[in-house]
Amino acid sequence: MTALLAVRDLDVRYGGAQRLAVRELEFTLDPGEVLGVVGESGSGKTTLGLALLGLLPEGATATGSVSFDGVELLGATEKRLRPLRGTQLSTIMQNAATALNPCFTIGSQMTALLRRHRKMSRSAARAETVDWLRKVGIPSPETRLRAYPHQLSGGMNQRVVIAMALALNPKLVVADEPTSALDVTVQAAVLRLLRTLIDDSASAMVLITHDLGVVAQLCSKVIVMNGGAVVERGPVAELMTKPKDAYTKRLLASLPARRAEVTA
Amino acid sequence: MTLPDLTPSADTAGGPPPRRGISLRMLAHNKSLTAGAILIFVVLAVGILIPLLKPGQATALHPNASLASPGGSYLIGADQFGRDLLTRVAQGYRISLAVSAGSVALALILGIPIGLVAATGSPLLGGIIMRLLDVLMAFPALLLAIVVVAIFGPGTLVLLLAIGIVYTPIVARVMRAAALETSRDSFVDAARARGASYWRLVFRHIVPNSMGPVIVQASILMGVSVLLEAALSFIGLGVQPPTPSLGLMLSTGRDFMSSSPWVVADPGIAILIMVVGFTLVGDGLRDWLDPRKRAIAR
Repeated sequence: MTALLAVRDLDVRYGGAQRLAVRELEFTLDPGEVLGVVGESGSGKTTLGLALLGLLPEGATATGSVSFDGVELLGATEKRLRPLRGTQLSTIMQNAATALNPCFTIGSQMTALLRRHRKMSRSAARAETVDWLRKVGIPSPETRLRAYPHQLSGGMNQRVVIAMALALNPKLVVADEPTSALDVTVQAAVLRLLRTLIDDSASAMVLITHDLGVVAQLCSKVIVMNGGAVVERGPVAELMTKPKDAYTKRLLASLPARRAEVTA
Repeated sequence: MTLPDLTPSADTAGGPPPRRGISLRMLAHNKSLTAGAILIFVVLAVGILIPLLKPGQATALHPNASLASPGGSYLIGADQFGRDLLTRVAQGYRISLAVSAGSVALALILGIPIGLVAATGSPLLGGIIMRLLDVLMAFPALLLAIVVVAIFGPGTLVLLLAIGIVYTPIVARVMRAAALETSRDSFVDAARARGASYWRLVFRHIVPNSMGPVIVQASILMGVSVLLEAALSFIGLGVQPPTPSLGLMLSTGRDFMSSSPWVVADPGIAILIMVVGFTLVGDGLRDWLDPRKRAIAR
């Protein structure tokens, strides 16, 4: 019994707040699995993501256990976490427009990442970057290398962010609303891309979203959060067809009818 | 974005391949930056060229041309010793530029690291640094400069150091505020999540994205330090005679103000041009570096 990620009794509280932002959270994740975390804004799902990455803001306290590949992440020092970050543990940020450094071209950001972690030569890193940009569906990647983030559309930036998150072949990716900032059509394309990449790399992913449609497309199992606690959990198909909790039923009911049929 | 098309390249922005984001056309849209740049260019041209054309004239005495009115060989007049005011103003510009550029450079060299440490270090350390800077800033700039001069004695280099020290807390504050704001951006978190080290976060992600306000502040400080230099020289604590300085010229010309107004008007106007120039450049840079306004100008 060696799950890739095992979360036990996770409580997170923001400094001074009465209520816990995340309460008694438990789940495990095996390699290759995609876990959906659903809930409305304020349900604690983003906080959970930050806790998994060790990126909780100062003043937030977390108790319990987050064990990743045998390493306890909660309370680990930056020094301990750094070797894991990027290569083992990666993230896709919510808003692609702000997830890239506006001062550097996407090519320089991505080659820097490859060179730093993989000790690649400049030209090898460049070639790898071009490969990745092509893989995430960016046309003429050789010229796009020289583009700054503000010169690309939201969908393109999101693809770059995804490429950077996956380029080092991490074991776990925490994706917080990876498609929410995109328009619906682009969303579908990006989701399919994520699916393919995850299948190819056998990475595990925690996908945080408020959109059950996205969950249906990508995840194998799902937990539903409300007020910081898990109200329901289970395999996606089961939860979609036979929701037990009242809150899950309300979430499902709020889906547009057509989409609900497709996923059923 | 046009009609849906679910191929992976549906979100491709068409058009030519991207170029660097800065163009001369954008500069031309920015009126205050252009106007300020022209004024500063004039100041530089006068400061560099005039003393070359008339070597030695700034301090050469011509008793029979005492208080000569503007015109003829004395384009903007002469002072009580018959020294050519144009060359003196030009020399004064050199001193002013050297002192203001030097002091602002000093303030940047000291202030940027202090501000960065205050923003990215532990909150306790940051708090201590900022309170110390608050104490320094509680003194009026002129008073603080006078204290420094009183300790080290008057002179051009001391003047430069004094003004630099006075401005260090200002630069540090602006740097800290900008760095704090940038460090909340999600690309900084993203870089941390990809395993970037502290130094990398600071120098590759935070600093380049926080320099805008610091650059603007620096150019405004350039203007203010011209005034401070003039003020200190005026009260005799700055540049020492016979070196020409705009503030010193105002001070010694005072006595002849009613009979020969050009003796004080010349350095006064010279200071005005320089200060307005730097302030306009600062204003223009602020607009130019503001991404929201930049998007419109594009």
